[in-house]
Amino acid sequence: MTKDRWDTLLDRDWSDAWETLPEAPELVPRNKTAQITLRLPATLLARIKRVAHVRALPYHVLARSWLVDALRQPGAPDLVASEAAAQTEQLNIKLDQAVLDDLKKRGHELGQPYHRIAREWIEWETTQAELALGIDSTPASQPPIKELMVLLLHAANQQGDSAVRGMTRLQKLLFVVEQKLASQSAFYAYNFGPFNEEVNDAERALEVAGFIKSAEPEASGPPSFQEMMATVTERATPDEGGSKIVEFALSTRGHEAAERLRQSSPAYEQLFTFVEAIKKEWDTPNVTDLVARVYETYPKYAEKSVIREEVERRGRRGRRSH
Amino acid sequence: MARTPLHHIVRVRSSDDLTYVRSGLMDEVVVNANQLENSVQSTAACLWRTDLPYSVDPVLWRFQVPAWSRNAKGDTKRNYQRLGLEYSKGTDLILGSTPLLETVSTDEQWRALAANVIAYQQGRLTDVPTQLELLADLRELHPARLMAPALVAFSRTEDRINRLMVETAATAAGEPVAAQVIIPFDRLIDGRELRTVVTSIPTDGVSSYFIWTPKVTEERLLADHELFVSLLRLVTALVDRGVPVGHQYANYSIFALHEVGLAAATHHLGWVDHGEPSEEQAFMMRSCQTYVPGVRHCVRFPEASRLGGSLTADEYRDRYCECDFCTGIFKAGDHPHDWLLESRTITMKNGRERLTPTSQAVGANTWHYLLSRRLEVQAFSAASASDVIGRDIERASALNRGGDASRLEHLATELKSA
Repeated sequence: MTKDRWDTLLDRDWSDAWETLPEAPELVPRNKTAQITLRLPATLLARIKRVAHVRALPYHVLARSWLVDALRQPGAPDLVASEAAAQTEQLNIKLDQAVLDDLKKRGHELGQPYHRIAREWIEWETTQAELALGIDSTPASQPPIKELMVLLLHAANQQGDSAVRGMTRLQKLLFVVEQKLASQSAFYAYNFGPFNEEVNDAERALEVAGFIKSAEPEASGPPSFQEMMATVTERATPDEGGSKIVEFALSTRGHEAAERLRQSSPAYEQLFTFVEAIKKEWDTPNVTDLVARVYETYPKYAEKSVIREEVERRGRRGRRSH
Repeated sequence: MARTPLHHIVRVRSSDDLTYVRSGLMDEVVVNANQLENSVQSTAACLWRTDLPYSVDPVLWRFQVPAWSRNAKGDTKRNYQRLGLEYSKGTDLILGSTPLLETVSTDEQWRALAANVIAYQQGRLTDVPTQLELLADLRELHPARLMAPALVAFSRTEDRINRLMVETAATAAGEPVAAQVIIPFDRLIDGRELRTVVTSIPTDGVSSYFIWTPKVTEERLLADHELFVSLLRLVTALVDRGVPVGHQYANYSIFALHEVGLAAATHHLGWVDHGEPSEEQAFMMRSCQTYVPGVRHCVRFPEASRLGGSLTADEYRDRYCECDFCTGIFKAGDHPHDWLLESRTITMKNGRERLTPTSQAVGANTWHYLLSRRLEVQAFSAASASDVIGRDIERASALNRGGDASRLEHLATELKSA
């Protein structure tokens, strides 16, 4: 640039041109994505996941879309009273910085913390979605066997034991719980009284998930030699002829999961109390007493039993000795 | 140029099999739908644990003949009853009561069945999560591939229905599906019939083919030149279509067909080769056999003991087996045969006595077999079939098994002439 040109530019009045200049980029660019961390009750998080599951969407994406939609509406939706349950879970939602700014602005306008508004919007949207999809937000009137099993193995019996010894005992205790809970039964009369193969499947599922103690490896990668041998030696039975009495006990992780389930809603807490009461009443030290009582109370389920007479004889003998 | 690896799929046929489903030991899991009905919760738990891709084999052909889905008393098994209800949703069909070709009479019904089979694969495991899983952060379970239902292609009637079901399945899935090609022995070895079957298999809407030839044992395959050539013709005819071809019940010789373009091989965890008949195998006492990688087939316990019982750890690894399970046992101070060949005497209902492997031996043999198969898949993925088989011929010779060395030489010759 020549000196003359330089001088001309400096002498010119730039005041009008200033208004027409484009916005200069910020010296420190703002993040395009920000994050909001919401504290939620476990039950609400589970409900969000269930809705996301039905809609085949990742639940973070669904929650974000709800917030963005809510911000597009003027004012605030009819907010439902948030559950009194403890907010033990955390939901991290990535947002555009502009969306987060809008959320903060809306919070300021409504005179409420923006976290609370976001949480209440999400809860409202969850309820709407559940209604639209026909999802029941409360635990089913007939909870899955797997959940009943976790609660049963978390509860203590009269002797203070939470473990259950033997599949027969586990089957019969869950049968009694189910009979007292539900109008329909998944159990049916079989060779040793009421039976439901779903109990075996659920027990195995809890082992694989690491909730019930077993030699089942918890890691996902290739097994070590020790892990392989553990699964081999676990198969050993005392005489290889009879069946081994297996003890079903929750692992630390299993007890934690049971506690979490229990605290996830008042309905589950109530269910746990119910299951515990049944365990205290029915889980007798001698399994024959339990089986005899089941046969006596629910004779329809003993019709095909191949050990019915034997159980009844022992039951009578047991009662006489008591 | 690097070779394309042979995709290794393990078939889950029982709840016990789930123990052995581990990433690193396979590339994918396929679960038989009848087994899924027995263990949907534990199968889901297993898939959550491993993160492995999975698919569901619909096993519709099990309804083809009533006896194939019935118990010893002659009743349709409970898991098949449940499966039949799923497959016949929205129709008046009752599967399992009569032969499927009599139960289903119209194309509309076949289409309904095919669509239901696809819906079953898409949704059966996504229905599993309970509050317990929702409180944890577990992946959603979606099959890696959807499989069109198929019948054993006994005749041109089944060929036409199979084609119809593949086309309907692809439409219902909204994406190409895997087509099962199930050819019985008689049609496989009849050149004209084989051509008819192959011609009837559709190309449109197919993402992969999975072959199964019931009752063809590895021994039979290697003993019968015409049979081997027929299988080769089938594989190459499908490979030439440019779609990946897999085998549903593979063994060492099938793995070797990677050389002619086989892309995937599935096997289950039973190590005794029964040739995979169509009907479900009744519960049988296990026979005292073990897989001997040194000769690439099963042998009876006494013979296995003669072959490897006196070998040192190094000799055993070089000649008999190099799997991590056997190596680990040597390191722990035992001989692998102490675990693999453990047996006990049982008295049967007729009063006769017989030997059967102990429960521990069954567990040990399953690991040993799975690890050995994995090594075989890796070997055929990394080197040419002639190199792999050449090395195995030397191993079989080192074990003084001249017959097995000849058998492997025969396989190499068949492949070379292909």
